[in-house]
Amino acid sequence: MEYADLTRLCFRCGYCKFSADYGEFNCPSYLKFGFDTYAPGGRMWLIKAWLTRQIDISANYMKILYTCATCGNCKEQCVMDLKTNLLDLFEAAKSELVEEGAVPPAVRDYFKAISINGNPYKEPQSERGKWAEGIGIEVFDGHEYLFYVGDVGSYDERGKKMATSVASVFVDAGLSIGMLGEEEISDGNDVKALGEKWLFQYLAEENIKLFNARGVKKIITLDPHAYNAFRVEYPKFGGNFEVQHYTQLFLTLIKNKAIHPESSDLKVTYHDPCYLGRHGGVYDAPREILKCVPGLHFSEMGRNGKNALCCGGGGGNFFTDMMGGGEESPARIRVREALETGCQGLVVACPLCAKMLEDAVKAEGVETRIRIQDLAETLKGGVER
Amino acid sequence: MEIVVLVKQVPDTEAMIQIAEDGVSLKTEKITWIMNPYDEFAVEEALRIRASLGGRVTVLALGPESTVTAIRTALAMGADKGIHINDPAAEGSDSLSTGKILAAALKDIPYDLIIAGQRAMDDDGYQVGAAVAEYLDIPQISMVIKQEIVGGKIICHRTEDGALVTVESDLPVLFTTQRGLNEPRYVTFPNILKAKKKPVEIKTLEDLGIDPQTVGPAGQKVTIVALHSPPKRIGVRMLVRETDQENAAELVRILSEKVNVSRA
Repeated sequence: MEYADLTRLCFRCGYCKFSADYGEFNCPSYLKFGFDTYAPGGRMWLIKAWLTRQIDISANYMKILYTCATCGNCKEQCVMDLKTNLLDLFEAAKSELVEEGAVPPAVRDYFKAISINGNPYKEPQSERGKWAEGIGIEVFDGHEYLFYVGDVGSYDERGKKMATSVASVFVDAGLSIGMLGEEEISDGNDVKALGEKWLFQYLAEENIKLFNARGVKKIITLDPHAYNAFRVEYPKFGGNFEVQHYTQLFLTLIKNKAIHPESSDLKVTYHDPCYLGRHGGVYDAPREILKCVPGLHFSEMGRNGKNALCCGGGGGNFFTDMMGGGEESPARIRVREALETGCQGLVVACPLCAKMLEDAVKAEGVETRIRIQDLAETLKGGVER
Repeated sequence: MEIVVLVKQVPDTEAMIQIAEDGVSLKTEKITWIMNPYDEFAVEEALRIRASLGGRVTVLALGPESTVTAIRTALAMGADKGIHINDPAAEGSDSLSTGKILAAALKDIPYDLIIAGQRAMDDDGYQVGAAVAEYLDIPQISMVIKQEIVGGKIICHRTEDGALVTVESDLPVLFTTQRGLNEPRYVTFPNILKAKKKPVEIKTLEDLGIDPQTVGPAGQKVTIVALHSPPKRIGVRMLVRETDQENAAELVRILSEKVNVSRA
């Protein structure tokens, strides 16, 4: 197994599950389950036990591997060289399971839905562009930018709202941008994170073929997960495009005065999406955007930037729900953390975070106190209560 | 243990089904085809039995060229060999004829156990498993959610309306699967391609000694007169028992039967 030797480099210091100041636990699955095996070091040793044949594959082994949200906090906190490929190791261990066909039913169903139906919602391909109705964004045809929406933005109710609000900003700015609509294919980021590297390769190759055939050079993604796949993984398959997340383009448009943020007196805080922040290195653009909103009161949460607490939606968990809910689920902890800032709005830049946190707000029963809004909505004065 | 699994290729459950011009068949051009979900349970169970008792798993399917994908998926899951009855004269066979054709093939295949899906998701016939068992004159046990083979006998737990029935029989037996029997394993695309190395025998009606006039359109004992799209589904089904407890019990019953929700 690739990266197997890394399992011998971990000496159980336990730093991986902590926040930067070691004041709190910052590993989503460890927060939820409390057992060491659900922390990165624990997973490392479990995988080592499987590699050395001390344990066999079991339902529990699968569950432990598949509850990792791939948030990358461990990569930040680990003090050994093995940090670089830490998540790759977990992915390799998952690929071993996938090859055997030994994956939890929810993970299996996610793969099958994507291979058979093209998306995890099993919705028809013909419905994929419906979110754009009435927004005025054109179908891509030689435009300067491709707006790549992704599975969640195309089919999930909350995701579609974000796709709409982001696209509206582009349309208002008069940008040359088009979307693929019903021709769009799943980016595959979470397929890869779950270890199905073969299905991922297929999706990557199909997407690259499609983008090249349509003359796509610049891609703006709604979803940081797609941003990660296109920027980091697709070049390995010959797909070289200029990839930006929508927050980066928003900042450019604001600086060029193509869009004018409406004033707002809201108190907000910002939640760094893992695939934009830790994986993507983009921390400043969203904050710069918020600084450009006249009157907006911004404060940081305790754990922010590289230290942000994941909403728990990564690693396919958004679709498989392997982690489950409950009071100690990362999304609910994050909402409580946001409330501590005294803010009324929790600003997000990822459709998965939006949905995870919105559900957590409802579970916490704090809908009247805090609202989840994406950056595009914040530019338009924020609130539609 | 010689285990034979009956497999059918059906339209994907999320496929947009449209009725063809003739009014009695479906348009097949845009459909994604999958192995019948109940047959997946059958293949998985066969593999588990082979894992504990040893033996061989053979997959048997009747259908056009495209059916080979379902056979390859079963082989990729781990089945040892496939037999594909591919004959245009068999197209349009009703459930009884299908059963007759499969039974004819089974006369030449050694079996201790035959496993089939309780029904196919396209026509919901429910008959082929039973028909095959009758033609072979072997016992049939339907809707099995758990089975155990001990000393040449099989003990099956089967679901009936709101009840669980335990049935015992000598082998050979044909049993059909119910949701909850197992969770079928996942197969990666490369593994489906690798399965091309496993043998698949092709058979025609002539190989099986079947007169085409007794199957296919000519042999239909049941004819489709017309196909209609179902009326728009009502969004809500109201539970209107006398007490909350009765409503709750009814809800649990409905959910268990539809979704096989655990009672934990």
